Amino acid sequence: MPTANGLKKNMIQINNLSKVYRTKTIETTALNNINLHVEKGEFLSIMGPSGCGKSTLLNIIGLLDEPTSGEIKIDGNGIKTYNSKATAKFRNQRLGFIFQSFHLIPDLNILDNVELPLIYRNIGRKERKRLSEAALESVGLKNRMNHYPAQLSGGQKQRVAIARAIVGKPNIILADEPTGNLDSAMGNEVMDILIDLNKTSKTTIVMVTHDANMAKRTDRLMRLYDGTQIQ
Amino acid sequence: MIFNYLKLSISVLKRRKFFTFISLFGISFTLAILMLVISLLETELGKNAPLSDRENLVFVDHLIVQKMKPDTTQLVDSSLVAGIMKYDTTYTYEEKEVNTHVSSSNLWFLKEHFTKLPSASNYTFCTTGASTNIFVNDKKLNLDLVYADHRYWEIFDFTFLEGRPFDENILKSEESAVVISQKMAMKYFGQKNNVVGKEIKFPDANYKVIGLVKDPSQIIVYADVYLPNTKKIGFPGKPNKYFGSYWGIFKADSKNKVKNIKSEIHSIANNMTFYDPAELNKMTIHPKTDKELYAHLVVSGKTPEQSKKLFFGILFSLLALFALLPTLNLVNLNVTRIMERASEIGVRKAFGANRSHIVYQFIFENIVLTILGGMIGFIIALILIKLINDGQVQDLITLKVNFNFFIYSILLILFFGILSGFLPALKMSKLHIVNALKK
Repeated sequence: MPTANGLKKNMIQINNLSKVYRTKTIETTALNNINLHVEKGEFLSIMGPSGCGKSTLLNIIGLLDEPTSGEIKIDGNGIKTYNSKATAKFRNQRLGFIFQSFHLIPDLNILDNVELPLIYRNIGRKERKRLSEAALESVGLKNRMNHYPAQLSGGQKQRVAIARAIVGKPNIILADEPTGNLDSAMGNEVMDILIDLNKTSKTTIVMVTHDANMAKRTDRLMRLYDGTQIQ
Repeated sequence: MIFNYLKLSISVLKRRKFFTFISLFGISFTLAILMLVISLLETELGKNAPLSDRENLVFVDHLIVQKMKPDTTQLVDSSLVAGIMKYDTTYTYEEKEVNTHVSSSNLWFLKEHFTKLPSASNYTFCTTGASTNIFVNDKKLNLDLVYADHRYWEIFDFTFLEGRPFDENILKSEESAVVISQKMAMKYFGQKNNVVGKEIKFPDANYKVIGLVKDPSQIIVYADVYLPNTKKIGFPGKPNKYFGSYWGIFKADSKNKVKNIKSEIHSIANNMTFYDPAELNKMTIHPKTDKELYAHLVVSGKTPEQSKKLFFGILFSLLALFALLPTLNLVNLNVTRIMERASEIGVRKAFGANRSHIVYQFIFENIVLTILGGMIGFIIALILIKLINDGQVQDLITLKVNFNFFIYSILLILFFGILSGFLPALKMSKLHIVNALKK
């Protein structure tokens, strides 16, 4: 979306970012001097071989991990100075996550799983239910809201995970191989939902994937190799 | 938020049945035993009749009377100064113990010296630990006896189910009248009531029952039969004797005056005029509060205050140890259980939970579990208390279940729940999100 001066707004801005894992004997560079700008409403996919640093980059964008050096700004906010409580609040209000292995809470039913981000916003029970039902409806699973995760197929679980990611209307959705555990039909179904979400609500999406066909459907592709950005 | 915690807790307990069973089993039995101990302590140390005024009582349970003789030590230091030997002599004058007698008091001695303590509003002299055997239909009954004066019933608020206590007139008239406990009524007459007016045959005479009291649960006042301390029946005491079978029990108007009574007793002992100073010439009395008396029965410190500190120190250490071992076990079990839910912690944190949210959630879950275990433990404790009280597993104490017992039990449950839940919750709340999501 263009800003007042006609430029598109940067939703994610990463400058000279590196991540190094250190043990007593070895130092491993997971990310090396990454520079990345993602515009508001853009759907970016990140590809690369296993261990190239895709998920590490996604975790850092999602404030789940910290860079060793470099700068990261989300929606104009430099998050380096945030304490853990402020970071948790920022994640809760601005970010939504979709994981390869769904990470639904098995002890909660589908509706309660989707409500999760709203609980930490102290939203009342009725409102939470209304928003969660709407999110489930948008992924076509309202009729399964009283079921438990174990009672759903892989594709359905991922749709629940999408509902959980979008229920709080975040600015950015971070998806770590969302179709990785699904067959191609189910994968396409999930991809359709993400693309639709991106188009209709202009939600910025960053998706890590191994699947070139899925990556082709996104606005832009970024390639990583051994922690270095090659495209 | 609390509603969500509760909902999740119940859901977790329902879905992880094996863990729930193991945890509840451990928690309920541990808490049941601790509740039994609470009941025992409440029975013995609570403000229950007939010891409702226990905090205002001072007991003189024994005297220490000694023969001391002067002992002089001479220490000579010698040193050579400029070729001249110099001597420096130090004399130390001390008292040395020749012999020591420790016993409870003679009634005559108590009456002679302890009837006019300024800070005592009332007093009684009574025996403890007396017993006798009598026979009912050729069956031997061993009876615990208390010989007391009429003031005994003013100091201790026994619950009279029938009849009345013996008064001053009965003591003066040397009437063979007794007050008995319900257990005695059952043992001797085979009935728990309608015994006033009946007679009990002792080896020396028949005694008429004039009162029936509810069984006291405290060792200090427990007896089957309470007899008036008359010249004919009791042990009137001999002049100029220190030792006998009696305790002096003094009551203060308020807790503050207990210290004064103790000081007055110390003063009497320190200023004692001895009957035969060549034989015995020093008296020490350790007046005790009821808790000090209990402590002294178990451990022996230099002073009653020390005994009390030592006794309660040991008691609470043992209780803490007993509670700590299952707590550590539960902590361990909880860490394993929560570890299985590491990815849940990761997800919750990813979607906005901070460390406090995670800590509260798991402590809340643990408290719900402990409350369930506590409720089962409470039922088990009530059953055990009933079995002990009905089955006469031990004859002395009837364990109490009262308001304090409920309150202490609830506090115990909460303490156990928070303690065993806090450490695992804290540990897991520190789990790094990325690592948690990988599990």
